[in-house]
Amino acid sequence: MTAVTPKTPAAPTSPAAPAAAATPAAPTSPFAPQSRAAPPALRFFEDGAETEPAIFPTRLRAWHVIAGVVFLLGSAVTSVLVGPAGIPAGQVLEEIASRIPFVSIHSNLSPTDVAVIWQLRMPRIVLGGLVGSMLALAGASYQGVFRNPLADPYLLGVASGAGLGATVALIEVPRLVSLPADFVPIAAFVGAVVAVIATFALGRTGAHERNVTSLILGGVAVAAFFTAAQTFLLQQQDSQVLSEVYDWILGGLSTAGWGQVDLVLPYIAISTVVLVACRRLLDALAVGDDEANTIGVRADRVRLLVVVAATLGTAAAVSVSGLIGFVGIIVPHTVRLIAGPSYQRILPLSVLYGAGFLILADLLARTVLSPGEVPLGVVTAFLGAPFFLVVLRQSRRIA
Amino acid sequence: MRRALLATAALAGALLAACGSTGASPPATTPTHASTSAFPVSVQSGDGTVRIPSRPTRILSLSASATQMLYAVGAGPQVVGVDKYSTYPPGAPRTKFTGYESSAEDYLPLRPDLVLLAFNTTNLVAQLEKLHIPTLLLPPATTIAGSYQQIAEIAAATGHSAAARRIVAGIAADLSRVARSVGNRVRGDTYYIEYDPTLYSGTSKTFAGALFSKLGMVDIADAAARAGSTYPQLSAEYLVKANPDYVFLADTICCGQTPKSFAARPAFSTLRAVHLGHVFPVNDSVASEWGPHSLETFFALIAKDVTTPSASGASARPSSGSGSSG
Amino acid sequence: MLEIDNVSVVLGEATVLKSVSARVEEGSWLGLVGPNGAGKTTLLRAVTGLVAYEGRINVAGRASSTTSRRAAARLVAYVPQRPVLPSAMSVTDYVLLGRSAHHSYLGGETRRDRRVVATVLERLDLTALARRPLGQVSGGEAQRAVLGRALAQEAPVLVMDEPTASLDLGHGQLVLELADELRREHSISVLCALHDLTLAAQYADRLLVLSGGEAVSSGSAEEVLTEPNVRKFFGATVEVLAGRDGVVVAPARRPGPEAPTWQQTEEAGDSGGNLAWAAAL
Repeated sequence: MTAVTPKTPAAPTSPAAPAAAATPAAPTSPFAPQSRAAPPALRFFEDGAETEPAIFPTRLRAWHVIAGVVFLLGSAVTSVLVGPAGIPAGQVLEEIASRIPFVSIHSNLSPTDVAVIWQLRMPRIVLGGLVGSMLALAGASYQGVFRNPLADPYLLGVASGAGLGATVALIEVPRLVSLPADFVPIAAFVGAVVAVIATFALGRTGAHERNVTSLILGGVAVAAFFTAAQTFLLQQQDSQVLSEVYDWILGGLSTAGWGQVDLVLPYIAISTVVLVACRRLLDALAVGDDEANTIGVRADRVRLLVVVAATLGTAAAVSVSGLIGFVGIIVPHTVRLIAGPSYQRILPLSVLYGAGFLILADLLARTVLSPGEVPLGVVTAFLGAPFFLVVLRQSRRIA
Repeated sequence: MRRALLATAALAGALLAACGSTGASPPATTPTHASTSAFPVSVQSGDGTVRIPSRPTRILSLSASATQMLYAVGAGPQVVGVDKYSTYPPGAPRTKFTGYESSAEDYLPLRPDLVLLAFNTTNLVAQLEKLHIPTLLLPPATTIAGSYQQIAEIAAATGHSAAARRIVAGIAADLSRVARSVGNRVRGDTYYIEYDPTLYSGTSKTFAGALFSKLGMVDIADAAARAGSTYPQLSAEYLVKANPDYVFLADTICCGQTPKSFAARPAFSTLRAVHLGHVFPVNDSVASEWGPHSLETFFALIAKDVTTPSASGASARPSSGSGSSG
Repeated sequence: MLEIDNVSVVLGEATVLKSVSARVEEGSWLGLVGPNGAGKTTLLRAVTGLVAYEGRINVAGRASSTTSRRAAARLVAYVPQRPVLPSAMSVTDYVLLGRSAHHSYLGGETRRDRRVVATVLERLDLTALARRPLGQVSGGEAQRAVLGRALAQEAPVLVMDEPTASLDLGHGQLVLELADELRREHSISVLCALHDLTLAAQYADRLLVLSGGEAVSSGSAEEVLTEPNVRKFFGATVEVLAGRDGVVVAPARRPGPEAPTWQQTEEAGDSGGNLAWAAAL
């Protein structure tokens, strides 16, 4: 063998830069561009070059973000302007502007109208935005972490756990009247978290090699068990409790004031920060667990972190909104169609588009049949199902 | 909260019991707020103490039972809207509202100054509170005293306390009269009340059940009800084995049941109630509501059918209601 | 430098690797050969830490069992036999994954990471394809991208498992030539499993023969690849010729009817340049 420069990177963090950069070391390279005077032989282990390399890693594109912000703001503003109270749009905007610091506009709305805007419409819009963004983000994260395009936030039993929790609360609360009014969301949250812990406990007992599959199967088993427990409890109940639970399952945003927003904001905020921070790691998981490990990404730990964060956020969202389907699937897939397959784009954009989508869906839910209402879960599914078919056709074309 | 209501209801019940169920009962309203109709007034309700600043003139009732009570105490002219399930009185200004709206803003076009609710599934109490609209939460009464209590609350909130005393006294007198005329004839007899052809029944802990208990009748659903349930679903076999003396069909409107169709069900022709002609239709809404109209209808049914049994039923008043309470 | 000392691997009930020892000096190339099921891939997976083992493996003087995944990724780069190629991921993003262990866990790549990737792409003649999704490049280009990802790790040890398995002869040679050049330029230690004994002999300084999970022979190609050895370890009848760049192992017709029926080498069927399995992903 002909060892030319027996130099080894001394430490992995700062690999030695062979000073032989200037010497035309490898003119024989079959890949060396013929036109180039100085072949780039050793350059790539070397620091100090001045030019910005002409490569284009996946980045969030400005127009994707701008479109998302416009969509979100458009949905939110329309929602705050529209309502049976019939407050003129100009006065609503005036009232909102008057709350901005250092803006000296004074609106002359009645206290009731002010309450409609700030205690009914606004909290509902904010809650819808939080729930929508969380479900979309969690759905996208689950799809990445399980490398399964059909994964949704309820994959690991969140829905059935929350459903059981809410059912228990709705049955027990009338008997234990001293409990706080927010007991149903809290019970739903606890139920969701317990279900996912059970899923993990079951999934772990499976063979190590089939970690992901056994986790998903564990979710199926846990969901079946919790749903059966819920059905068993409900079967013994009065029709009034049944209708309340059914109402909750259909999903919806009924909020008074900012209490529910305060309740879920911490969880959703933490969860969102963690998940969006993991966006690159999700891309790394695309090469499979083994290869992710060889490039220094602990696939199992990433999966655990992402699943814990997504579950916590989903549980919080579900606890105040019930089970709103499809958001966790159609929003990430739409974003994927618009912005490409990288989670570096999908995750942040899912937050924006998910929030806008649910606010819009809630607006439709309460206006389409006004004064009657369509359950929010029905609206999202109604918009979602046909849309999903389009997505599927598109993705088939791409593949 | 609800506990307070139950406590007052229990107190009123105790008062009533002390007077004897067959004696002439005095008006069973609580004196605290019924003594004055001067506003502002504070009323105890299912959602705590509600302060009503002035005599309401635009009342929205989202509970069929509350609608019955409003019209009974004479607050009808103050009502601007009732929910779609309020079937009595027929002339009440019905709306499309259900009482399950997700936003209280939906009610604002009616400009209500008092809202009556039976349930708080969608946080409406808190939402209406944010809009500064006084709201009474009047959950299903499970005793006759509980119903009197709600009549008194509604009367106090609407400025009709004096009338309420008279109404309640009248109902109590009617009850005494019915109870007297029935006497001990049905004491110990069993009955089955049906809310749905799939054999959903009600126990003696429901409002209708409480009424039959007053007559000494025994509800066959009691033994089948598990903890926490007052509307259990029975099996056909259980029903046949229990073999009730009386059957009340409260699924005549929702599900088109008649004494004939009941008797035609498999194995039911052998029931004692069928043989005796003791299968009686009841209006669905009447049977599931707890207002004065429901009480009087039941009294009439008992007076007509239970004391002098006949195969033909009494009071299947036509109604567009679906039979849901609310 | 890579030291493999008495490494055994037990998978379930089966011992698939028995006390294998080997040593790859800086800048040298150890070829790993052996029949199917000899434990070649298992040994490579042990070196990259993908499979639990007994014994010691030292990379650059450090025991690999005690290094973290992240640190290990900066010491050992791995070209798997059947890489998972996300069809929608761009070549640039894919090569950039090799920098995962260099930039902060949750943060983005630095300017230097981008520069390394740019240079790797240029060096592997992939610059023109930088933005192309992996699903739309040929098999040879995809294999170069896999090598590029490994090189972007800037690790002193490069482990390759059949890097030419899905390539035709010409593209296979290109990949091996490239790895060889980089090895010489940067004193990388290369551990490479190859089915083709002639190719293995041409590129490796030394060969290690695995059979039934044991190291049965090692030394220079001339020492190891004798006709009796090949018959013994591979059950193959060959002619070993003296070529211009070392020994040439040419298959020969079997002399008698008692010879086993299986083929000596397992040429991938899809050598036409397109990685059928990659496109399917």
